[in-house]
Amino acid sequence: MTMDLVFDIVVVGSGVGGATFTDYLTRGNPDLKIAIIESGPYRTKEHFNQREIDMTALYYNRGAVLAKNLQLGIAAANTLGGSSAVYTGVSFRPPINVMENWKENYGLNFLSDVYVSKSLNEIEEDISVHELPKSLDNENNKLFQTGAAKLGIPIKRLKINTKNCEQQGFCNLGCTTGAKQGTLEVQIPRVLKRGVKLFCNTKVTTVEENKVNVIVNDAPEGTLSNTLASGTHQFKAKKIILAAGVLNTPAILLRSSDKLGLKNKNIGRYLTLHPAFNINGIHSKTITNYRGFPKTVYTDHFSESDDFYLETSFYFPGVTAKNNPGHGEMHQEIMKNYDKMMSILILAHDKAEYHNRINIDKNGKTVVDYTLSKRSKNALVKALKEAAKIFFAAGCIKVLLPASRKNPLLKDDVKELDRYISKKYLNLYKTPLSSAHPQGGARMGINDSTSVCDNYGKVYGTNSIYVCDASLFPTSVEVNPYETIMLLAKWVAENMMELDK
Amino acid sequence: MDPKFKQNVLLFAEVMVPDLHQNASLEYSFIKNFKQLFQGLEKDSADKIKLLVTLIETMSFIYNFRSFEKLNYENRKKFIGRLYQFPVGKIVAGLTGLRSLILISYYGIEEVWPNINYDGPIKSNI
Repeated sequence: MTMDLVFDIVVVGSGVGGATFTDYLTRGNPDLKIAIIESGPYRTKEHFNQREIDMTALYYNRGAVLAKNLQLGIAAANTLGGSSAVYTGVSFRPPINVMENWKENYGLNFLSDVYVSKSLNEIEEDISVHELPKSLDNENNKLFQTGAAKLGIPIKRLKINTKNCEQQGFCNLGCTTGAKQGTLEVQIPRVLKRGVKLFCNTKVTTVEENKVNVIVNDAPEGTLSNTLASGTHQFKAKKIILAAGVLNTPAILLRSSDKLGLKNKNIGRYLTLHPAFNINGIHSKTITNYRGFPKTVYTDHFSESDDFYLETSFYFPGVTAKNNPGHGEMHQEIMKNYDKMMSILILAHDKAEYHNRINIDKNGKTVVDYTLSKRSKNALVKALKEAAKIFFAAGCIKVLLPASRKNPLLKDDVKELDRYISKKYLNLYKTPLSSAHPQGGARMGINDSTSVCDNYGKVYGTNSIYVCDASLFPTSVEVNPYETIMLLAKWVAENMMELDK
Repeated sequence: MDPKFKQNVLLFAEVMVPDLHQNASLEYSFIKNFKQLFQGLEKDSADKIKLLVTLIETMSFIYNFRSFEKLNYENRKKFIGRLYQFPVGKIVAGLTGLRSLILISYYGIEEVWPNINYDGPIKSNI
């Protein structure tokens, strides 16, 4: 099979960054010849079957790319649509204080209140971001509100991007009805209609100026077939947009450093992971939280004081079992209460630190070199205590925690949480600490000695290579990141062609 | 999957989820799911799990003077309990990783779902 692989633009990645960039670029430039390269298979909603074992295939390494120190697993999608195929659709605007920091300390002055607000109004309308009505809160979300209210913790309603959601509760295994307005449903069909070419199962090895070197793998069984023969190929393009996600974009740059003559010591650095625990309590009544939209409320009450958010959540049996502590008879008895479980997601804000990084090994494979800071550990421990209080206040009779001296905790233990939950009991080798929001590694900023990309997303020291995903974030955005990625993708698309004129 | 590896994974799994013990039907479904997950792992991760299982076997000789498969159920439970206290963090992390694969495999068995009152996929939409 031979094909002309010469394009004006090659976009690496079909997730939130790559597909949004392509959408905006093609709106004003219908004659551009564009290719999207995606490392994952071509799957659409028809391929999602709500079965946990099968659907772990939507993720790299079945859902857990392990940090080098084995203390944390990252859930990152490897399928058409990237993370937007598996996210819950929780839609946050970037917090004002984060935008102020990015402007003041990284020179990203384009992020004015007016630009951010106007852009996100447009984006949110396009992808149907809205608050779910209270009438659609499932029991988990109702109980979270009950517990928080009893403790005087203010809650806020989450926004999500769905259309005609049937409340199945399987968002993280791919939406079978296409209700979730990720790139699979919105941007990808749109840009394909505009003539953009899509190449799946195509992994980028290196980039050079105006060249993208790839390996095409066979399409896995049950997914749509490839348009390129398996093996190595080279794409040529006037501009190359790296939007392959935080686990890949910095790694591609590191693998390509020699060919590009890049000596920037910041590539891969300042990685943040938004480390998370998903924890469960057992309620006295049956609450069947695996149905209904998993997330409608959260609290940012502890964000400034203690560096964490609490969001509602609910997961499938296997992930729930993994998140519950212990094993054997005790664990099995706990799981018999699956339909009585209440669930909370803890998200700790981590600081961008130089030593936390995406690196590559001698074979060029991504290595996640990340150590949880003392501050993040304190945040997680405090969050576990606060979440335990909410569970009990909501009527739970038992609470199961990953850093507790005793498991399960019983209602009377709430008086002595400081005794039971402490950093001393937080053994990261034993706990299911995870991340679904990796950010940084190719940070954007006006100073090339502290950043990797300029304020238009162009990689310093290159002529044709841009970054357009969460790798650009100079620091953690501290909330679910997809709207912020879209905001930056829009900015890069709007300006890239203008700057050439 | 290597038969010895499979056997040792199953013996470890029985300690994680006692209902698997001497239940041929569950064992069959469990191994089917585990195989599906394991074969989808990246080579590095799969190699680490294989190494861990070999290490469990070796340490069984050191701690118990007999192979892992020759330990009776109660002694296997005690031995795995001791392994979780092992001073090398990465070995404990390995056990945690293997435990995760086992629990996802086990609770992916349709036959198990009624025990936890899980209705499974919404069939009308599939």
